[in-house]
Amino acid sequence: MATLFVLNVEEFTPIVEAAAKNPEIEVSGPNVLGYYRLDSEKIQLNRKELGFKHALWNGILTGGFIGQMRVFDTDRLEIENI
Amino acid sequence: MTQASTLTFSGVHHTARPTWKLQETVRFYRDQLGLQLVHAISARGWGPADHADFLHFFFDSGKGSTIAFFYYIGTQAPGYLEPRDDYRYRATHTAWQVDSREELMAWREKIEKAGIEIKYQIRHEVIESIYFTDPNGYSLELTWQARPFGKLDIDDARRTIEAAIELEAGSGDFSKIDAVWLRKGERLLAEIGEK
Repeated sequence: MATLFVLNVEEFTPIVEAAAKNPEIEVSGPNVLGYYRLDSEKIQLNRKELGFKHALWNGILTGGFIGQMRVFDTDRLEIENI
Repeated sequence: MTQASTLTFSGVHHTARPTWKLQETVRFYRDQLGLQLVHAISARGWGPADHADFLHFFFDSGKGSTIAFFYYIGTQAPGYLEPRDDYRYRATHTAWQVDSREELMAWREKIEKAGIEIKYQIRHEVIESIYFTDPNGYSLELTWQARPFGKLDIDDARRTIEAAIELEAGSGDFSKIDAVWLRKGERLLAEIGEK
């Protein structure tokens, strides 16, 4: 599984909301440490769909992740199971 | 008596930098930005034998804070203090706080009307800022913060920086931020496992 941790603060909420609409991503949390956890064989996110400006997009993984980053360009992020 | 364990700072009194443009600096900070000139020291050089006579003057930047300058009489700027068009040079900057986005936009209008160029306006994670430069080439920022920092921010900041310190001290690849995100992910997984 590829895993993405997302801190439970308002600026990152769109990530969790987008993931919750994707049946291929299992969303859990926030856990006791204050992070949502996204698990999937492949986690794909799109900057424009999230409504993220570039500064926030470029720090989108700041919660930490586990997996193989396949794509991370100006608009697309793709993390796969290792 | 104040206990060492309860000692805290009460905010910024002043930060200071040198200027070789006295009139332009006063015009910019006092007349264009409207910061009141609240204190000026004029003195003969003292301390090091080669210390020039100087002026040291302070502009009020709110809540007891000031931004201060030294003007060293009869001297020229050494080469190592020449401004550079480089993000690493701009990393040293002053960011003043305003209370709302409306105030930030009002300041943007005021600054532009004064003929000062706004370089950028950027929405970051928690703050939104405008960036501009003073006549000396020093970078300035005005910012408003959308929400206060809480325990989650504090704990998350510690985890990020601890992961990075571990990488800095190690012998593995630390050429990209990806390494920090991966290390933080591993550490979080372990931490959750312990809970």
